[in-house]
Amino acid sequence: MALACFKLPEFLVERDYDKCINCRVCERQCGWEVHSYDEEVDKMFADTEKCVGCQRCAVMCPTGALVISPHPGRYREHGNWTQEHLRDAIRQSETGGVVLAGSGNDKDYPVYWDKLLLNASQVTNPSIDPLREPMELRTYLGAKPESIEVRDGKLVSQLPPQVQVETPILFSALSYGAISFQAQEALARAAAELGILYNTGEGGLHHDLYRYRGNTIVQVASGRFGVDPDYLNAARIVEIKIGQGAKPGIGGHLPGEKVVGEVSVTRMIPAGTDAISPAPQHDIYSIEDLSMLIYALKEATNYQKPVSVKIAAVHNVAAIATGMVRAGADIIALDGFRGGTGAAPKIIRDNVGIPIEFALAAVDTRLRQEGIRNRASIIAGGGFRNSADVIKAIALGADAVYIGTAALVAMGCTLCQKCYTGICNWGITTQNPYLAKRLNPEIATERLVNLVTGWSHEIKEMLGGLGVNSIESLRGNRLHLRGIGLTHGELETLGVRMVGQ
Amino acid sequence: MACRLCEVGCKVEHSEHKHVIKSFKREKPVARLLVEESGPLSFATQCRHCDEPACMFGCITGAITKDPETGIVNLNAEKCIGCWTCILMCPYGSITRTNGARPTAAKCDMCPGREVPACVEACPNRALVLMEDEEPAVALEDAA
Amino acid sequence: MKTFTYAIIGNSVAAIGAIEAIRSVDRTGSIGLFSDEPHHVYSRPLITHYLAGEVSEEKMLYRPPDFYERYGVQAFLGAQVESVEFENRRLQTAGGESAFEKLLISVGGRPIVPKIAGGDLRGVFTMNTWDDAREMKSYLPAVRSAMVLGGGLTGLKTAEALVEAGVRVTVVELAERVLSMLLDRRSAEVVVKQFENQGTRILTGTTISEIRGGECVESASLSDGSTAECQMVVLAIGVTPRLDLVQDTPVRTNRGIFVDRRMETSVPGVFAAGDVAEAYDALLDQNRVLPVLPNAYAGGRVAGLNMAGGERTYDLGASVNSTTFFGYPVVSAGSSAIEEGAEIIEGDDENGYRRFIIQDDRLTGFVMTGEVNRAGIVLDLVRERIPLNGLKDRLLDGIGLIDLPEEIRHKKLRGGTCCHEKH
Ligand SMILES: Cc1cc2nc3c(=O)[nH]c(=O)nc-3n(C[C@H](O)[C@H](O)[C@H](O)COP(=O)(O)OP(=O)(O)OC[C@H]3O[C@@H](n4cnc5c(N)ncnc54)[C@H](O)[C@@H]3O)c2cc1C
Ligand code: SF4
Ligand code: SF4
Ligand code: SF4
Repeated sequence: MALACFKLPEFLVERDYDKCINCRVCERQCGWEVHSYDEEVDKMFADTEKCVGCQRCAVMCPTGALVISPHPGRYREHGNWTQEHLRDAIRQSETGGVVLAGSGNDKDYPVYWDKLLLNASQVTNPSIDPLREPMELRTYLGAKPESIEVRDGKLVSQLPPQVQVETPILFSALSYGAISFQAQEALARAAAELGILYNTGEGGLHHDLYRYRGNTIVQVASGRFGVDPDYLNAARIVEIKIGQGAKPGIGGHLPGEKVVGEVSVTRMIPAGTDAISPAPQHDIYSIEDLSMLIYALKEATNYQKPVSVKIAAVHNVAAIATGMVRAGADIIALDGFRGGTGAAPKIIRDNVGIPIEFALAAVDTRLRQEGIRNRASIIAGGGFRNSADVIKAIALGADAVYIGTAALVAMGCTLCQKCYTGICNWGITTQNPYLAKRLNPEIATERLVNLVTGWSHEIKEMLGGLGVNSIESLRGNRLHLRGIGLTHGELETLGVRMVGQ
Repeated sequence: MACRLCEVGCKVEHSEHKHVIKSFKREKPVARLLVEESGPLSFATQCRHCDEPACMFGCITGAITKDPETGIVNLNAEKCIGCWTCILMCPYGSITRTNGARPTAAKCDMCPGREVPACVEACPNRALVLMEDEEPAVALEDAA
Repeated sequence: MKTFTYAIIGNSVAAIGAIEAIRSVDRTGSIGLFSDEPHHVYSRPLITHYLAGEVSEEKMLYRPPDFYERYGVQAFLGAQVESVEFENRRLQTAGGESAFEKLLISVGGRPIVPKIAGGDLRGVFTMNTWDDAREMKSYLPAVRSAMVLGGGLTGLKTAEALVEAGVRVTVVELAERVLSMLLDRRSAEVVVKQFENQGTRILTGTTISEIRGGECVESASLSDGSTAECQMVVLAIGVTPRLDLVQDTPVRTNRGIFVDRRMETSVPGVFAAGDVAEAYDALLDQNRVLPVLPNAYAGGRVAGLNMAGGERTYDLGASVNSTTFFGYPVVSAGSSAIEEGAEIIEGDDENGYRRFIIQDDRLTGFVMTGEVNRAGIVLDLVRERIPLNGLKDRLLDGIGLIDLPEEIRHKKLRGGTCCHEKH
């Protein structure tokens, strides 16, 4: 190998030859072509350097002969120059390019969910057993009126369009193109089974997925891919994408090689052309412009569908959010800096944006202060890992949450972060037919349904412990939360008290 | 998805040791099904347990029989003398030869004594399903 | 006098095919089975393996000992049918007379015995029945070397068995190559090599002119003038359909008993199948005597289904052969023996020799030796007359279902059941 290569391998592939039976399953499963069989010595070999640590081979090996671990060979330890800094600098010295990454910000920033604790009822108010008593997770998304009029037990006022979901957990935008058709189909099927919603992302809606229209959020993004009246009207919610937590301020770029076949048809662009999502929406330079687009979309959908606006969580998010609500958004989708992506410059993924916990608290607080909280639902996204994160977000003020990475994990993702390469050994973020067919939508659907069902059960348990029998009663009720190990400033912004208070 | 774990499962099931490592290291088991690949297309093929099994018509020793109750086409390796007429007759190419000094024909036997055939159980992607309604057969649900 | 719904003459593969077919639709109609051989149904191809000592008595049986009982068959073993009155629907054996409604003639073939001086000495054998093999086996202690006349399948399989039994064997074949009905020159050479590896001589273009000895065979001289010492001579120059029962009757014969696509003879209600029949060859689209076991079973089966009131046509008839010589596989099918008048693709590597005969972009025959796995897929190309298009270049590498044109593959895989008999 050329001298130019100063990189140490990241992962170590160890094979127990006492166990290995030369079945070559690992060889066939690794899209990175790490394993190979040598006929002459009748042995499997590994090209350790190519391994990205996705663990596909290790789980598929029928004899458990493989262990993939972080490579023990390391550059000299340095407190400032971590292994990663070294590696990236070396890589860039070789290529002169931007270091790309998939998945979400993996840096050691504080995770505020882990510094928030929930309450439980003791003595003075009874807890509720969700197995014996009804427990309501059903949620309605969309603007709520200032007041309603009820006559003879019947609602007489006209409500803005509402979208009912059975549990406040939605699948976030994962576009066809970035993920395989199989993966998107699984999301759609699972959403339908769960009575929730999935989000097409900005890649258009494949004709085979129109049948899941009752569970679809369609996105209108800066590239306007796949947008036409059918597309808009196939949705329950139309979402304008302004920004994304993993790469605030940055557009998207799906290389022409991936714009093939169905992807090009679905995106409505010629095959082989790069699908460029500009950084800004070129028709939006002000809140007024946003308002025009919102109403254009409402017009196009006959005022039947709530319009959502998705932004990345950035510094002055609260002010932006009020502008969005005043511009007519029925839903505000906030994407925190730990949100995932198919491809982003790593430097941006890891350094731009703010945590969703703060963005959510700030926006909820601000909208309340301005008396317009009822005019939009809030969907929070970006790094939700379990049901506790979800319930804490609801207590901070979210109506529902978006899960992206968690959904990918349900389908098999091990966060190897190579989504941007188009080689996904789990068949999720790839258009390579060899790899994509590994993902059986039926199995993936089941797993997604299981995950969301499990989380929903846990939420019910926690609600019961709080003595609350409906998610509505928790929404924005920060008294159920306490902060631990937080500064006064943090506590204040989050609007929660310290533990013990 | 062409991982060929079904073949591994089948080999182990039809080996003496029935242990994935031992069977492979001590014996040379053959799989009674075969994954065919061409480009991204792949599928597993194995005996269809035909209504009118050409292999049985051709078998010169009477080693191949069709069980009238289960419909399973069985091959009695004790009787087989390895003339390979059945291999020539089977239009699916679903009969193979065992290794060893006295090779015999071998084919899918639907894994007697097992609830689910070994190949179906080994498939991580549920591409192989057991269809019991009509003919007993392991079918590939989605060939692509 | 007993009247059988179904009478069957001959107790071999075609008969079993018919019985199993009849019973799949008619559980009660009486079946009478007449056989001049005294044995329970056995596998004829195994007689050479029996001679070699490879196969035990009980493994000779083609169907289990309780077969007749389970299938409700009244079997008359050792009862040769001496004549059949086709108008009256009667048949006569030494033990008496039976009547029938439907008749299957599946009497097979008999060895052709050439007139050779000394042909009546002790130690001269033919190889067609289990008893032939038994007699030969008991004579073996007296044999150090043997001469086999005829390089056809029976001759070569007998030679192989004798070699395995420790006898020095010379094969004598009049034609210029062995297996000339099945193989071309080069494929035949592959077979000859297997024998030569065992030290067996194969002489072509010559024949035995005289067998000498006092009471027993002591030597044989060949038409080329040479003489070789031997204690056994096996005459295996071919079989011919046994037509004695139908000679001078309304049953139409040609080389064999002529049958239509339903396996029915010119006499309604009378069927014929197996080595005695001249039945439809689906590859050549004409009637032929094709004396191989798969055809006997399939023909018997079609006959049985039609005898029991069904409507079935025979489509499986083909020249197909698969065997091994000293463990080395040789399969052939269709026009495998032709040398010219067609495009021929050949390959010879560590996997063996293979040869594909192509006419009008269709495969019409092939030979594969050594690695023969999945030969059935190739045979199906011949049977179904599938246009080869690009497949031609891949024939030598081995064809899988995946290589077939998509619609054909789908039909095959979804269709589920294989057989070519049309419903
Ligand atoms: C040595 C040898 C090796 C062979 N190897 C192969 C091989 O490898 N592959 C292959 O495909 N084929 C092989 N064959 C051919 C195969 O055996 C025949 O094709 C098959 O047995 C034909 O079956 P059949 O039912 O037509 O009748 P047969 O097996 O010929 O049996 C006919 C029966 O009818 C009986 N019979 C005749 N006349 C009367 C009568 N008047 N009354 C009562 N009974 C009567 C006969 O005695 C005999 O038992 C081989 C044959 C021989 C001899
Ligand atoms: S999958 Fe496991 S047993 Fe098979 S070749 Fe790879 S390491 Fe060896
Ligand atoms: S990249 Fe994944 S499949 Fe390939 S060797 Fe590494 S862990 Fe195994
Ligand atoms: S190889 Fe065995 S099972 Fe196949 S036809 Fe010959 S004897 Fe029968």
